[in-house]
Order: sequence, then structure tokens, then C-alpha cells
Amino acid sequence: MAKVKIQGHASGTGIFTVTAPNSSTDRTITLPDNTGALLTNSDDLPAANLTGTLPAISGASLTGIETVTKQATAPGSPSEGDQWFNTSSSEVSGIAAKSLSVYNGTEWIVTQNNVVYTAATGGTTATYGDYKSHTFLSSGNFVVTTVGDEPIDVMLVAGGGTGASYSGGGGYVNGVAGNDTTGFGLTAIKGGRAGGAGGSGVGGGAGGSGGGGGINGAGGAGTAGQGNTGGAGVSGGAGGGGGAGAVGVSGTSSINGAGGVGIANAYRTGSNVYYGGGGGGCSSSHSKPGGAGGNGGGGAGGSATSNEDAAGNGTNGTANTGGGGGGGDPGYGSTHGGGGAGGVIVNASKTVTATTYSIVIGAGGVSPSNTGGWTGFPGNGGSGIVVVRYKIQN
Amino acid sequence: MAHYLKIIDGIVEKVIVADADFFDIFVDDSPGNWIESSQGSIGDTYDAARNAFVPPKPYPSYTLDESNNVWQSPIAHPADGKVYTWNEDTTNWTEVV
Repeated sequence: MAKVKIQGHASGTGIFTVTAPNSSTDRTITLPDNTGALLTNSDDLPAANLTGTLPAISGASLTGIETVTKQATAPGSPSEGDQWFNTSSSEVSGIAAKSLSVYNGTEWIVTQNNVVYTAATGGTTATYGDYKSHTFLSSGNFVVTTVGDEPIDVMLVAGGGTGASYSGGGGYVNGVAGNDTTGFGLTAIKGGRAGGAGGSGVGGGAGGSGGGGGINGAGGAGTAGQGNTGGAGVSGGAGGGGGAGAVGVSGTSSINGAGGVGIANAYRTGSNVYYGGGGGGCSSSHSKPGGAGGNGGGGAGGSATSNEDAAGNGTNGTANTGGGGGGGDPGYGSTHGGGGAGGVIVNASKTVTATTYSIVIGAGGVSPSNTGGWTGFPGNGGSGIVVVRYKIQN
Repeated sequence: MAHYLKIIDGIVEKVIVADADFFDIFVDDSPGNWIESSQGSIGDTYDAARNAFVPPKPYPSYTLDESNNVWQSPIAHPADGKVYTWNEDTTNWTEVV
């Protein structure tokens, strides 16, 4: 049989008394089967002893804790700091459905908004800051898997047109237009062809941006909202192709026109890149440089310093910028415009649905005279591009 | 990545940049067919027998050089460094003054 032993302390002098309460009921207190000291109602409960499964505690018994009122109407007579979750499926008192709000002393304000971000697949992706981008250098599908609360940002750039040039024994030829880029129900218009010198008054072709004029030719018209007019040409000075940001520079008897500048856009990486520069004109007189390509992938015009000089070749527009190609000439002194840039559409509020969008990237124009084997050929147009971006966080 | 050309009634109507597998998912119900080629531009005529692209004929008197698919004038361009334009009425080159 286990025994109860009461033992005094060899050094202390105090007297410890065990007292009974004022009760008429018999009680039995079972001592714990452990070694240790008893915990009284004036001791702190050691945190280290709070182990194992804790008992369920009713929140209703707790005090000093802020509660959240859950109801479909705003609480009456609120105090600063009160919290309310709107359980309604509709907006109530300015608070969105199923949203948590706090009273700031004047009004209820949302503390947690159920923001839905767009999610999608397709193209080459990148993330930066609060955004994710999808870049299409070639045709493909953009598949929206989640429709976000906010519209997405899209940029479409069409293929640029070629410059004009010499074409062997046949004389001079016009450039070739680029190709449209399409997606999201939008069409970026192909860059206009450049005007050659096959006849007097050879103008540039119309397009997203217009091609530069050849000898005595007007610049081609641009498309409103996508690009600009090409520069005009005169005998001895070709017009530059129009750019998305500015018209092409007209040629004079002493200069070849530069391509119009493109426009900057940061959708792809968060850093600005120029798209849609016009091609520079070319009228080689062995001392007159070709017009510069417009910032945005526009190719420079050729600058032949002698007959059959390879430097008379126009520069290609940069791939995936929609830049126009530069005009070319083998040094025979004729006048060939620069290619127009592909049209550029920037839509910062494109609404989408959960569906598949087909993205078709327009090619840059390819000059037939590039296959002829002679010098002084024109620059081809740069191909188009589509960039999509949307927020993935705030 | 390659160029694909939409040919309708023998004429190039569109050129796009794509990978071959794009056409596994691309829906195009319009007439015509797509071919892959690094050459050819809008408006060219596709000569399937020669797999060649011929640009529009610039002048009625010009003839096609099938070795490079370039239209040639009946009279060669003068190589005296002066500026000329083609005059179809006289079928000769006219100096631009």
C-alpha cells in the first residue's frame, strides 16, 4: 500500500497548515503521480508545461479580443477599429461583396479586396515588378486560363516594308510591303513599300507607316493611330520611311531622308524598347550617305562610294521590331526610298475572356531583287511582334 | 521559325512568321493554301512548277529573267552614272535632269 508522508524542512522555521473548507461533504484529493511542486492560484503557469493537446476554449469566454462582425449590412454605430465582413453577394455601403472592411472613424474601408489576377499561357514569358509578359516572335496561341479583374495590355507590331533599289538590267524597282500582324481582334497594318525610280514621281506605298518616296515621289500615307507618312523624294535625295513615332524625313538634293523614329514600349521586360522605325532613303552619288534608319529597327539607306559598291546595300530592318528596310543603290546615283515601318498598336486596356487567342505575326517584306546577285539591293523589312502583359500582384 | 505564305489563286496574299507546329492549331477556313518559303512577298505570283515567286510586271515591255525571277527592260540601263527613268512610251531610258 502506498503511503503519505509529511516531512518538514530542516532549515525553515515557518509552520504550514492544511485546512479544510467550510463544507459538510467528504472529499478526496488525489495527489499527482509525479515528482514536482504544486501550482497554486497565485503562480504563473509555466509556458513550457503547455504541451500536448490543449482543451477547447470557447471564444465567447475570452475578453479583450477584437471580433469581426459578419453580416450583410453595415454595423450600426461603429467605433474606430471595428471590423465587418460583408457577407452579401452584392456591394453594401461601398464595401464589395464578400470583403473584409474596417471602420476608420468616418467610414468603412476595405482591408482585403478579393483581387483576381489574369493567368495565361503562350509565347515566351517574363516577370518583372508587378507584371508578367508574354512575347510572340512568331505566330502562336495566347490562352487565357483566368480572367483578371483588370484588362490586359497588348502591343502589336506589323512587319516593315522594304526599301527600293536597283534591279539589275531592269533599272529600278519599288520596295515591297510588309505584312499585317493580328490578334485580339486587332490588326497592325503592314509597313508600306518604298518608292523606287522606275518612273518619275514614284511615291511610297501606304501602310501602317508609309514608305519613303523615290525620285520626285511623295511619301506613302500612314495609318492613323499606328504610324506616320513617309518622307518625299526628289532627284538626288530619297525619302525616309515613316515611323510609328514620326514622319519620315524628306530628301533634298543634298541629303537622303532618315526614317521616322518609332515609339518606345516597356511591356516586354519593363525597360523601354523602340519599335516601328522607318527605313532610311538612298540616293547614292558616291559621296552622299544613305539616310539613317529610324530608332526602332529601321535600316539605314545604302552609301555606295563607287559603282557596284556593296556599301550601297540598304540595311535590313531589325527582326521583331517592324522596322522598315533601307533603300539601296549600287552607286548609279538614282533615288530609292526607305521602307515604311509596320504599324504599331498599343492597347493598355484590352478586355479578354477565358479563351484561346490566335496571334499571327506578320513577316517583313522581302525584296525580290535580293535574289538577283547584284549590289545595291534594298534592306528587307523587320518582322513583327506581339507582347502581352498583365498584373500578377499589386 | 520560318516564313509561311498564303497563296490564293496563285498570288501571295500574306506572309507570316511561324513554327511548323503552329499550323496544327491554327484555324484558317479561308480559300487558298499555305506554303513555307524564305522568298516571296505580297503580290508575287507563285510559279508552282518552278517553285518560284515572280513579282508584279512593272511595264508591259519588260520580260522575265527566269534565272533570278526579275523583270528586265528591253534595253539595258545606261551605266554612265547619270540618273534615268524608264519611259514605256518610247521603251527606252530617259535621263532625269
